[in-house]
Amino acid sequence: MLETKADDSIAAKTNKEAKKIKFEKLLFELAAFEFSLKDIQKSLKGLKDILTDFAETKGCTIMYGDKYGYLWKVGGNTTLPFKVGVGAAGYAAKHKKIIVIKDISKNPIYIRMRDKSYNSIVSVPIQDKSGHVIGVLNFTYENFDPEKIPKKKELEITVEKLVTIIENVILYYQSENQKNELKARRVISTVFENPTLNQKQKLEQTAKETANYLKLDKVKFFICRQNKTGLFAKEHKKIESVVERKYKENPNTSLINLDMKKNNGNFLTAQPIIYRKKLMGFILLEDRSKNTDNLSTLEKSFLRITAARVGIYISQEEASQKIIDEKEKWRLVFHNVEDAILLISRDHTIVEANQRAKEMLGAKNKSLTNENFSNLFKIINQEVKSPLLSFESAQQYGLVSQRDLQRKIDAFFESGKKISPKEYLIETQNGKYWTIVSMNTAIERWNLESYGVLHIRDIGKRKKLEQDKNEFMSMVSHELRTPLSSMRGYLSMTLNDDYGELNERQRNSLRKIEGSTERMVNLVEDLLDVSRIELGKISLMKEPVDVLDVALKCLRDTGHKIQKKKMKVFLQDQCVTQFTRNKGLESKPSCIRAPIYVWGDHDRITQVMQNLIDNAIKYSFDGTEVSVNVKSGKDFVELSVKDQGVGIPKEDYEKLFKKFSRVNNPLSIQAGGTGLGLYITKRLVNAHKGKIAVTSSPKKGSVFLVKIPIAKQLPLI
Amino acid sequence: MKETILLVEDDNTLQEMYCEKFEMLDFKVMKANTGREGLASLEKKIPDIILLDILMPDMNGLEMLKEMKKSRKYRDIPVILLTNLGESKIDMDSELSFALGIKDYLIKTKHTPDDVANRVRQVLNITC
Repeated sequence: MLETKADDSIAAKTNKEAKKIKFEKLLFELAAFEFSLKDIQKSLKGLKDILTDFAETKGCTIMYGDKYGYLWKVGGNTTLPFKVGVGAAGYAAKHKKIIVIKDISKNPIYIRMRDKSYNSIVSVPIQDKSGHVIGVLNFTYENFDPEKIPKKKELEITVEKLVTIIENVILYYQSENQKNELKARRVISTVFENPTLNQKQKLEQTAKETANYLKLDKVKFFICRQNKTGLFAKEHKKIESVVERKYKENPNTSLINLDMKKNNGNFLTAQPIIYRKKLMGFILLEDRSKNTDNLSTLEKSFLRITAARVGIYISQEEASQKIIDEKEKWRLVFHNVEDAILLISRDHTIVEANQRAKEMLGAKNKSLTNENFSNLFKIINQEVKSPLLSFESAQQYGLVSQRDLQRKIDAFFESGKKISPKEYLIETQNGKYWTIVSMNTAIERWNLESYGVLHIRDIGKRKKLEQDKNEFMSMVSHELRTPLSSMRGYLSMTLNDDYGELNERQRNSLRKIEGSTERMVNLVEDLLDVSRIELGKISLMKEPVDVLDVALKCLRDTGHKIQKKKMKVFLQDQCVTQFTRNKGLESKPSCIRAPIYVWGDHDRITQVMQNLIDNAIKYSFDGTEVSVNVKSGKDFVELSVKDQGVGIPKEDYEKLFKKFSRVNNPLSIQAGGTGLGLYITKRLVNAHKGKIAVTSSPKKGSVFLVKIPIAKQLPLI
Repeated sequence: MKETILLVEDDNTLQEMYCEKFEMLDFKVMKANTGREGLASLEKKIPDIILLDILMPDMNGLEMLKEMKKSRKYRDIPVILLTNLGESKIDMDSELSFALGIKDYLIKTKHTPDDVANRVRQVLNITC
């Protein structure tokens, strides 16, 4: 490649002087012009004329780019409007030098050039004041003629004038563009800030404004919808897949040329909408004539800014929608649960109440906020700790009071002590409810007051069912009692020889009937006890009861069972009754010294003792011992019943005291029973404010330990 | 002189059973199936003691007891309740009946005819 400076030796023809003056005048006029869009177009046309003239003067062709594109594209940065590196113009622009190539055909780089209409070329870079190349003037010649090469001086003047024109045009467009851009951005801002518009309207108006500003035929927003079918809705599937793919290929991409046209031939370009590195959607630009390349830097940055704006807006919308959705979801749950839920603050005022709470408290259409919950319902009864205590006796023990719950709530806030679920009969404006009240959750707010969640469950239906069941049980048991009474009565009379003396076989068979009748009577009595316990129908007649005496009687009562199993029974380590092969059943005189009194109901204490002793014998191996020990302590008397029987595995301890539960072991199958005995025993012990526990090792035996309050006074007699 | 006992009991089998027992023990037995019949029997002859059931059709035992208490003639006849209702001593029904002046409250399944007879003899101060 050859390089030469424009040479002074290149002379101008004098006869062209007039034209030159005209040309310069024109340039001057143009430069001084107050530009408007129309004028610009005119002046650009004028520029073309000037250049054509200039070319004529010089007898060469001047290339200036097609359709004024030259000028449109030149911005204030270094981005060149043409492809640098191709041809002399590119080289001139890149190196900011005038390039003179005398014979292109000899230069292999240019062989591929399509336009073979010229052989020589002079490329002159047009630089603005700051040295940026804003264009190139090409002088091409069929044959190189040094005469026709523009003189340096001549070129300088031309270039200077051109620079002025081009810069003015650019400035005008820039300022005009900036004004428009600013306006468009303002419009978009107001659109987004307008609270009366919904998301769809906002995006539509933004799209409209964008299209308006960019002078594009159509602009549309596509927002990702995270659904099962994919990132976007079904329409425009193909475009979307391209956007997605191109975005994945290069996440930093801004404007994506989709390399596709619509059926109608329109160009399609997409600007991805990205928020926090997540593809939220894209702006689809559609135009008949313009492609991505036709957008200026300012326009591109406008699109990026708009996309970012939309991205932030969409993510905010999504986030706030999420919060709204979440809130709505919990609101629905909160108001549609079967239980009443009250959020209560430290001073017992209601912060929030759900629908059910309002119904229960008779404030369906009223706000309960800031009401003191104690004004809304009163506790009129409470499930007393002992099921055998009637309401009246519970009141005596001070178990029933409104203040009880209030104190518990205070304790909850002070020490975080949960209020365990308890049954209360409450009275509200709407009537009486059997409920379970509990409070076990606190909502802690940083540096602020915390709330307790008071939970009220209406258990009326359950209570009714329980009562029905118990009444049914009581009725059935009672009906069973009548025939059992005559069976038992006649049996005892017959066995008593009231109807004449029986022979041994008759007596034996009747004894068997008696045994079975006995079992049935026991079952019915147990069932009746359970229903009474659960109906809270029995109270205890408490008096000092000598447990040693009770135990002795119970042990003596077990005579024939001991005989059958060849056992020995002990009280306070002294043998009470034993069976030996030689002497048979043998009762020993009691030598118990001082009585030990518990505070209880004589019959019920007897029942407890009898039950434990019967059980001990029932589950004992033949030839073993059962011993009862009574020890008096400060507040309690401890009774223990020990056997050497089958024992109970540890995992069954809990089950043992439940209704109808029987622990599986070989003897329990033989032993028979209702599975109610220990349940009743436990409830009776608890009713005495006592405790029952068991320790056992399988195949070695069990110890049942009962603690009953000691009698603080002695019997009057 | 034979003691007279009035059995007020709606269950025929049971009534027969107690009847047999007391006849064996040389009582003169009067029978009634309801409270109302019981009151009617009293018109004929005043017994030495009454064994009274509670749950009966027409008029129950407690109602009969209340009626008796209204009359000076019948007020002092000793009554033992013999029932399958509730439980001795500590039931609501028993509390009420003790308040009405009964001598005892016996449960048919728990107390054998002999037990009942023993209580009757105790109340009447008869020793065997």
